[in-house]
Amino acid sequence: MGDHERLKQLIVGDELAALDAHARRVATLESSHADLPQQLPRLLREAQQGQGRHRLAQALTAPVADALGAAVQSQRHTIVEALFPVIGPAIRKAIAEAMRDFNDNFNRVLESSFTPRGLRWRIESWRTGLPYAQVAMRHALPYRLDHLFLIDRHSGLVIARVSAPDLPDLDADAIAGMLTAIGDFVRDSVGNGEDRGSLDSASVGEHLVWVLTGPRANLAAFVRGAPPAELRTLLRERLEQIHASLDDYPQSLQELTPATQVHLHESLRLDRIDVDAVAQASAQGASAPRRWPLLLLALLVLALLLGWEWRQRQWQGRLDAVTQLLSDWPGLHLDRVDGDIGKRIRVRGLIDASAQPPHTDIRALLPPGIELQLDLRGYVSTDDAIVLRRARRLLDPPAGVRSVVQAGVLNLSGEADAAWAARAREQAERVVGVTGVDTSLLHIASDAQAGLRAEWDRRVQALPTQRVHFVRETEQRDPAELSALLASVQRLRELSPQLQEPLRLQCRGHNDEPGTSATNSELRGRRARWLCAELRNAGVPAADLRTETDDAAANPPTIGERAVSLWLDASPEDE
Amino acid sequence: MSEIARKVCMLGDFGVGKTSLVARFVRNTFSDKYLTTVGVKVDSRLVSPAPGTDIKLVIWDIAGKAVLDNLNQNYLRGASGLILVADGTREASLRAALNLAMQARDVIADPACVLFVNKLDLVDRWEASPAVLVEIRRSLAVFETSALSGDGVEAGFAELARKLAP
Repeated sequence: MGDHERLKQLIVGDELAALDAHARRVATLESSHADLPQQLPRLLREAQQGQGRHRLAQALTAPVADALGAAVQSQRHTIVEALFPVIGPAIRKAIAEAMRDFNDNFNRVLESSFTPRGLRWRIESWRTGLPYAQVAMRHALPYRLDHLFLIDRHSGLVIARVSAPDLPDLDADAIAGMLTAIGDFVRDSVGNGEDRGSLDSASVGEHLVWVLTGPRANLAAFVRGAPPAELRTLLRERLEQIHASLDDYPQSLQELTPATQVHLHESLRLDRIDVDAVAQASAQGASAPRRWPLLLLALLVLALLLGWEWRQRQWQGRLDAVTQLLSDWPGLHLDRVDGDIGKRIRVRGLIDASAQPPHTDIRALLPPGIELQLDLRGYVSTDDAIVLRRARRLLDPPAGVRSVVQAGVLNLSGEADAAWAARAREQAERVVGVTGVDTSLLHIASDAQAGLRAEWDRRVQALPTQRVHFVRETEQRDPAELSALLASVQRLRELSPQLQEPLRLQCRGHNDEPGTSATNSELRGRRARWLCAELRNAGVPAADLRTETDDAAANPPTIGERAVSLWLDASPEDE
Repeated sequence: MSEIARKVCMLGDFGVGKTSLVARFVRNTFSDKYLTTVGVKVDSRLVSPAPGTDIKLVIWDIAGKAVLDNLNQNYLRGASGLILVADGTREASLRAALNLAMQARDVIADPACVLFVNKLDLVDRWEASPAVLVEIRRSLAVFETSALSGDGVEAGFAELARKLAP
């Protein structure tokens, strides 16, 4: 070794030694890496010893999944061939179950499509968006979950169990044991002892037993009725969750902690499973909720409500109009207006005989086709209009007189003759409803003789009726009759000059039945002359008297006609 | 579950009286026809080997055979105890019971085990010699039972329950 080498050794000797050591280590590593493919199986086996198995599985989870994905991408055919024994039975089973469900659903849909119950279910399906078959199944095939047994697959012992509350107690361990034994029997006898075969379900009548197998525990469900397919899926999920919680018990499942047992019981709660099954069925079967049917229904209801409200308002408006009309109707007292919408109107009340009938006016307010029922009873109205009408009918006022009734007081105004005015004052008080008469504005006409003329007319008209009757011949039956007749003639003689009315009188004699025509005619003449004589004696000028020969045909003889009468002579004055 | 459940299998040759012993001990839930169809019948009974300790014995009455076949081995899985049953009037059944016990140990590890020598009511016709039974008692709890009279039955099941108690 030269000086240079020694110096070098002194300065960097340690570093060179470290470099040599690293070089040897690298060479060793390269050598071991070259042998890795041969040593890998052994290393993997060693890695699975004890707790290392779990760590190795966790470490390989991601790369194995990636590798499987890559293999599926690149070597699909190989993967398919490898999985074919598994996929085939699974597909066949799924198809068989689907076909069976379809068949069941189809039959039930056919059976229930056209019944009222089916229509109700269709509406529910329409409203909820669920397929009709599912709605029909849900209603028509109720089910009940009686028992759930979580069974140790190894021993057949019950790990946990839940039963419906109202069921009698049963020997769950014995049943679970028999179920396990039968499962083993079926597997051994039918499944050729291979682990993939197992008792999956059994049914007797409406009772159904499902056995869902897991790696460590089986879940046996005792069901009555026809459960939905979703229930089995849900139970499968529960079994998977239970297995996750059983990881803490690598060996025996027969000595679980109380906390685990509580958890298992919670997982098996029947009511929650039922609710979850329904929810899952709804979630799987329901399409997006169809809101438009509900909206359409709401609009329809709203339109109907609006229509009904509009009709009500229209009808009420008509009732109000009729009520308003009749409330102001003179001589009508309104009790009530009601009726049936669009059909008829009933009016109840009282009406005065002098009031105008309201039919026509009511009809004018109603559309055609509506029946009008008037229930009006009579009464005496004190309405001013009716009282006025009543007063006018009684008083018959002349053209120049205006009459008004206000608050029962009859106001007469204008111009009338004294006679009418006097009569009006006398009779107006007797008109029903008139509480007072006001004639302050009624002026008497300038004809001062109107009253005298009226008296003249009245007396002239009454004169023929003031007869003097006889017992026989000219023997008076009552002398007062002649006195009254003479008094009337005297009054006429007083009025005649005032009124410039001529007074010429005609005496007529009458007779009764018996007697011949000539005799009676002579008797009538005699009686007429008798009366004229009496009148002359009373001061009536003879020139104003004339004896009338009676016409028997015009005045037939009766016992009551044994009398004389006096008439105003309207014939032309003798020359 | 409030009580502890233990699976117990009854093994013995045909006609030794296993089913009668179970019938004496439990109230039958299932028909005996399962023995001839499925090959097993399961019943249970709650036993209290000590105050405050309840053990539910789930008894698998396996159809009588001198040799365990594959199906019967499946029935043994998960068992914690064995009841070997022999007919005292047939010494061969005693050997068969011991043979079955040996086979069962291949399936279940270290089970609690009792031997019922049945038909005590016919003790005058027993072929099993007392010397043999004494020898067996050195390694196994032996109970002389009668399914007919019930002698020894309760005691045998109680001993097994005691062995299975935690």
